[in-house]
Amino acid sequence: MTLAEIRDILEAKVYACEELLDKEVKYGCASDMISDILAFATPGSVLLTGIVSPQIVKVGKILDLAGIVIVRGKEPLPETVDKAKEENIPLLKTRYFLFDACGKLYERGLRGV
Amino acid sequence: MSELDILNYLSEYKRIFSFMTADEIMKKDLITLTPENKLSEARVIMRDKRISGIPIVDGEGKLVGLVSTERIIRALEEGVINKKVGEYMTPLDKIIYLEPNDTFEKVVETFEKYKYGRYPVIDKKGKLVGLITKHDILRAILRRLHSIYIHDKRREAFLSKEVSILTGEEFIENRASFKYEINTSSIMEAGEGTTFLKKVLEKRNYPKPFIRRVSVGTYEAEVNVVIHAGGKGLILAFFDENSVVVLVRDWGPGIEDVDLAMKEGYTTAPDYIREFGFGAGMGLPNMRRVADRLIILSQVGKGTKVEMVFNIREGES
Repeated sequence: MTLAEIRDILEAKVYACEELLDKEVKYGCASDMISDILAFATPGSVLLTGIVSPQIVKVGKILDLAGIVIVRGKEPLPETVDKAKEENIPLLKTRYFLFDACGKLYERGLRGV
Repeated sequence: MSELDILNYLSEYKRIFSFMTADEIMKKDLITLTPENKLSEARVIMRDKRISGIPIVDGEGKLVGLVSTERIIRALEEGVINKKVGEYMTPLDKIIYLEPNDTFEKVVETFEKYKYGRYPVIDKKGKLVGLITKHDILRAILRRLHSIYIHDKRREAFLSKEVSILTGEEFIENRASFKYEINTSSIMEAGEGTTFLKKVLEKRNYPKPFIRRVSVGTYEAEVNVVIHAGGKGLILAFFDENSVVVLVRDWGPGIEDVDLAMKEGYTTAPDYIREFGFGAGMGLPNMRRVADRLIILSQVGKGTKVEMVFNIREGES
C-alpha cells in the first residue's frame, strides 16, 4: 500500500511532503504513547496517532517511518508541519478516530508490525 | 547452590527480567536426531557433548519427541539400546514445551512447576526453534546484567568525575565525536539533540538498524532530561568503528529509586507531559532494550548520568 492510497482511504489532508506519497508502506502502527512507538514501530511503517506536537516527527525520523497520520481531525501544530517538511516525513490528517482509521486500513490489507 | 536454590533465586528476579522472552533465553544451535536414529547414537552424542537430552525432529524440523539420559539408562537396563529412538522417545503429547514469545516469568514458572531439566521451544507451526535449560536462563541473565544501577558510595566518585563506568576511560568533552548541550524546558523541543546525532551517524555510514537503536536510547535519555531535570544537560557520543558510546548527563534532582524507575509502566512524569505522549513509564525499559550495556547513575540532588554502549550487532551491518 502506498501513502497515496492511505490518503484516499482515510480521506486525509496532506500537510507535508506530498511529493513523497508514492512511498510504499510496509506496516501500520498506532499509539498515542511515544515510548510505545519507540518500542514497537518498525522502519517503513505508517504511524497513526493523536499526538500533534513536533515530537512525533522527531520520533518518525528516529525510526525511519514512512509517514505519519494524525487522527481524530486534530490539527498538527505549525511547528510540527515545519518539522515534517524539514525532515522529509509525509504528514497527513484524517477526521477518523484511531480505531476506525486502523480498521479501514486493515480492511484494505495493511497489517500491523 | 542446589537446584532448588537457583529456582528460588530466579523467582525473585522474575519481575526485573520481565522484558525477556524465551526467544532471547533459548539456545538456538541444537543437536537433534530423527526417530530413525538409534538410542545408541543418542547415548554417544550425550556422552561426547555432555548434554542430558536430545530433541527428536521429523524431516521438516517439527518436534516429535525428546530423549533424556534417564531414558538411555533405562534402555541400557532393558537391553534396547540398539532400537530406534522413535519407539522409545517421550512423545510430543507428553512433552512440556515453550513458545518463543513466552515471557521470562512463564519460563521460570514452567521450571518450577514441572521440574524437568530442559524444555524445547517450538513455533506456531510446531517447528523446533530452541531449547532452554536452567543454564540458559542464567546465561541470559548474566548477559542482561550489563545494565547496572549503582546506589552506593561509588556513585559519588563517578558522578563528580567524567569517567566512564563501563570502560574506565575518561570522558574528555573535547574528544567526543559528538556534543550537544540540552538547554530547553519546553517538551516540544526535546529530541533535537538526538535528531542531530542521528544525522551525524548517518553521515558516518553506520548501519541503519544500529543508528535507530542508538537514536531510540539517546532520545529517551534526552527526553528524561527535559521532563525531569529542568531541561539542562549534555549529550556526548564517542564513535568507534564497531560501537558508539553515548553519555547523557544532567544536574537535576536525580532518581530516588532506580529499580522502581526501571519498571515498565512506572512513571513520575507530571500530567501535562502525558498530553504530549510522554510519561508511559517506558523510557528506561526502552533504553535497556536497545543498549548493549547501560548504566544509570543517579543521586538525589546531584543529577543523573546515563551511559549506554551500543555495539554493532550481528545482522545489523
